[in-house]
Order: sequence, then structure tokens, then C-alpha cells
Amino acid sequence: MAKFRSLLVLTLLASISTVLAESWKVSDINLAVISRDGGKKDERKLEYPHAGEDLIADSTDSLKFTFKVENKERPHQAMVLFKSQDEFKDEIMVAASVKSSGKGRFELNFAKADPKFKYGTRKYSMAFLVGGSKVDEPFKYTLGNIEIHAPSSNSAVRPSGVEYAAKPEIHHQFRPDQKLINTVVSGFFTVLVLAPFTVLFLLWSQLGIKFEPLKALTQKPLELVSALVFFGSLAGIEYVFYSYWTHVTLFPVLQYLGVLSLVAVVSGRSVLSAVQARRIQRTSGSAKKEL
Amino acid sequence: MDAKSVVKFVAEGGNILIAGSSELGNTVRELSREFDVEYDTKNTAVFDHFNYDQALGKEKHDTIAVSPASHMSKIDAIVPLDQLPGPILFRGIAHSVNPRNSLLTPILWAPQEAYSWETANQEDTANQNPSITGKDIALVSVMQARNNGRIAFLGSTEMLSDVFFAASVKKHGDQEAKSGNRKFIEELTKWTFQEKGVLDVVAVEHHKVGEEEIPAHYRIKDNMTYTISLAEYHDGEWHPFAANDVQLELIMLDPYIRKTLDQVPLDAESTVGTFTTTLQLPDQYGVFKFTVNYKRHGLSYVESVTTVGIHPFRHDQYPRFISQAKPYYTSAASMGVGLLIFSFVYLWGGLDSSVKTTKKA
Repeated sequence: MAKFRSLLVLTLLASISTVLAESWKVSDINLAVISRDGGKKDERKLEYPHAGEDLIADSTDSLKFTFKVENKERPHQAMVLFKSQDEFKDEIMVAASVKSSGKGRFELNFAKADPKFKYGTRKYSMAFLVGGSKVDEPFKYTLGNIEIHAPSSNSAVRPSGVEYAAKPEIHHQFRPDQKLINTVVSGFFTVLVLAPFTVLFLLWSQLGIKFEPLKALTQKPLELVSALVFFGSLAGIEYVFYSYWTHVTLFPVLQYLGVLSLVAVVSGRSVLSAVQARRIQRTSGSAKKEL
Repeated sequence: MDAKSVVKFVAEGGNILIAGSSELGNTVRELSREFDVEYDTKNTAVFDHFNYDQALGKEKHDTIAVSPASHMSKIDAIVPLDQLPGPILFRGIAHSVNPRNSLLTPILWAPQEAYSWETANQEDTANQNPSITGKDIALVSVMQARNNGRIAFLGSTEMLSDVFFAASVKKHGDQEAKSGNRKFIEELTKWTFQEKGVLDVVAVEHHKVGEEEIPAHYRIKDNMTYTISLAEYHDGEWHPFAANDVQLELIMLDPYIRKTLDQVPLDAESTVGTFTTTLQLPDQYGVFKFTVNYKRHGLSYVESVTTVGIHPFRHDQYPRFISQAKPYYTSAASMGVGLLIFSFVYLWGGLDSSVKTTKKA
């Protein structure tokens, strides 16, 4: 019976020890920021599960991390996960070495560490991860935050590819319409251009022009016809010019002009010789009178 | 078989699914490197003491359960998240993808606590920084080459096994759930072998507003309508494609206009998705390209280019009667009218000779 009882106690003890072994126990956790010359800038003594206050480190500083694993088994993973607290959420894992005594440590020199530490001044959350296949339940301890400054030179550039997405729309900028002057101004100049006509008619009216030859024409039908044809061809040429401006193209215009100018030359000869005859008659008449 | 011949196969439009394990050989490594995928060194595996499956990964914590909600890409065209019944089990080797390569996309990546380490010697602590950890570990990634050839990279052959398909997943501190592997692999293989997410240009039309025919050329500042019809292949047949981000670009060296096309509403009789827009052409003449360059993750690339000429105004197409130019028109007209009046007066008018003579006398 006593033997059986001791066996029971043993199995109980054994089961207790396996229960104990189902989680990792870590103590004596320290974080320290070491400057380049070896001086300690800042340190935190941490007690699970309380997170330490924020640390600040320069790009040339080192981070020293020490702890002690209380379990008999040695963990396979004893690493600190740094996670950047920006939109990229970069993850960097730093492994510690653990001695057979259970003491573990790492010293992380940011100048030589993962280039992701050099993407700019960023804040990182730190989580201590302890795990191994011997123990079912892993250990995770949020240590706190650390702000790591970007190096003044040689900062790393995040690699990135082309993002396949809709691109911003482009609206074409049309050239602005040509600026035109006010129509009042152009209207004024239109009137000004017509003004010489009034001057012309005024002066002519003072001269007292009489259309005697025109009246005389009615008695000479042959001259009347050639006069009408000549004047008509002149008006026709003007009309061809007008239609060239509005709608007719060059080559038809040249044809019309060819025909009309021929008519104008032929009829013009007889009309102008009539004018000539009149003038000679008048000069001889007036000369007679002077004599 | 060497890597080069497989690359040639892809260059000719072939599709491949590559699944590796911790014992991955050199040929596959070399091949993957051609596509900017780097598998971790031989005899390494992904370990995760926080997210291992309590049944399959009890021994070594090497079978990890990955939650698709947080660790799978949100590309529904490849694997739709809402169709997965549970986490995805993975046991195998890690790989990393080149982030500069836009054709390559990780589909499934590891939880933040995961790391890649040697499979041998589990007793000692991993006392050096692992080569890749956390979300940098790609578990499954896909690539679509420019010719729409598709390649899928898996780090685990066991993902495809019946054991993993049938397994129920029990993660530390989580409820037991059905493994999502079957659906995940089903959708991934469908995508890889061009059974879904395939787009095709059915028709491209363009014409001036108020006309129907494709003109020989346009004139600057013309209003015109552009229409493109796209169809998507899935479930064994072609369906109308629906999207709200198809863009048209007018390019002559540089894009002059980029406009998002409106989709014509689909109805039961639609066989293609029709995208259309009406725009005013730029006041720049030359040979333009109407380009629809639609590249989205998970869909085959669409690149439709139509070349059109845009002409300037002809000399007689400018506005003719500008009121501001009236002084010029009037002066020209007064020249003509003046000639007629003057010649009329010269030919048939005359001074009253009697008046003149009486004055002299």
C-alpha cells in the first residue's frame, strides 16, 4: 500500500512537472541603450507582464538585451520582434544566444543591423518571443517601444515596384481662344472706313456733275448696249471677287474672271473711245470759244 | 529538364505550378530565381511556436496555421477570402519575392512570429538572426508574366495532400476549425491554369458624336465616343466583365488625356461588359494612340491600342465672319463699290460745260 502511495505521489509529481513545463518562464529581463563609445545611455529593468517606458536610440547606438530562461529545456526561439509603428509595419526579428545556464543576451548595433532599421526615424514596438517544440505554450512579452533615429547618411531606400491600379485622370488643357477687341471699337472703324464716301459725294455735289452723256446714250442703241455690257462685266468681276471670298474656290474663279475680263476689254474699247471722242469734241469746242 | 527549357515554356505562354519542400533541389531553385523568387537554403523550414497546428505540428511546431483574413492577399480574382472555411495549413520551406518585381505577388505569407531555420538540431537555440522572418516569408506567391503565362510558387507539397485537405485546425488559444486548404488550392490551381481571371477584348469602337462609322481621321477638338467591350472567363464560359476603373489614354509620346470609362449597365442579356466615354479631342494634331492598358493583380493583362490621326483645321475651316474684322471687310468692299461708282461717273458724267463757259466769259 505504502509502495502504491509513493508511486501515486511520484506520478502526481511527474504530472505537476509536465504542467510546469507547459510554459516558459523568463526572468531578469534588461534592456539598455549603449552609445558608440560604450557608455550606457538608458536602461530598463523589466518585469513580466509590464511594458517598459519608451526608449530612444541613435542610429549609431546599440541595444543590449539580457534575460534568463528558468526552464530546464532550452528554447529554440529566443528572439525580439521589432515592428515598425508606421503604415508599413515592417517586421525585424533579432535572435539572442542562450547559454546552457539559461542566460541569454544579444547586442544589436543599429548601424550594422537589418537595413529596414535605416528606412527613416521610426518607432518600433518590441516583443520578446520564446518558443520551442519541447514546450507547448510559447511566451510572448511586449517589452515596450523604441524610437530609432535614421542615420544622417547612407539611409536605406525601401524597394518598391510598380503598383497596378487606376492612375489619376488627365484633363487636357485647351489653348484659350484668341482675345478679340470690343465690337464697339471695330464698329467705329467701320464707320471711319466709309467716311471718305461722304467726303467724295459732298465734293462731287459742289462740282455740279451732270449726266448728259448718259441721256445722250438713249438715242444711240449700239453705244447703249456696249455701255451696259461693259458696266455689267465690271460689276460681274466684283461679284466674282465677293464669291471667291465667301464660297467659290480659286480655279472656277479664274475661269469666270477670264471670260468676264475678255468681255470687259472688248466692250471697254468702244465705251472708252466714245469718252475720248467726247473729250476731243469738248476741248476743240472750248478752244473755239476762247479764240 | 533544365530551368531554361521551363522558362522557354512560360515564354511561349505556358502555366506552371511549382511546389517545394525542405529538400528542394537545385533545378527548381534555379528556375525560381529566373522569376525573382528565392527559396531559403536546403533543409530549412518555417517554424512558428505561436501559430502551429496542435495535431499536425505538435512534434516540431513546423505545421503552421495561417489566418487568411490577415495573411492572405486581398485579391479576390485569385482566392476569394469569403469562400475559405478556415485557416490554411502549411508545412515546408520559406521563399522570398523581389519587391521590385510588379508581376510577382505573394498570396500567402507567414505570421509575424514565424521564422525560417534549419530542420536539424532542434535542441539548441537559434542563436543567429534567421534569414527571413514574419511577413517577409512568402508561403505561396504567384506571377503573371507579360504574355499572361502564370506561375504559382508553393513552399509546401503537403499543402496539396489529402491529410491537409481533411485536417481540422486547432491553433493554440483558438477554436477548432476546418482547414481551408482544399478551397484555397482549388482556387489557386484554377487561376494558375487560366480557368479564371482571364480577360479578353471583344470589340473596340470609336466614332464622332452624332455619327456611327469609324472615321478615316479626326479633327482637333472633335467630340468623339470610344467604346471597348471586355469579357471575363470563369466557370467554363465567358461572362461580361464588370469594373469601375477601366481607363482610356490618348497618347502621342505622352498621355494627353486619361479618362475613366463608364460601364454600360449590365442586364440579363449582356454577353460582354461595355465601357464607354465621350470626350473632346485635344487641340494638338498628330498620330495618337487610343490605349486601354488595364493591368490588375489576378486578372490577365489587357492592352488595346488603336491608332488614329488627328488633323488640324483646314484653311477654310476657320470661322469666316468675325465681327471684329468688319473694318477690313468694309474697306475691301468700299474699294469695289468705289470703283463702280467712280467709273460710272467718269464714263457718263461730265461737268456742265455751259456753266463753266459762262463763268469764263
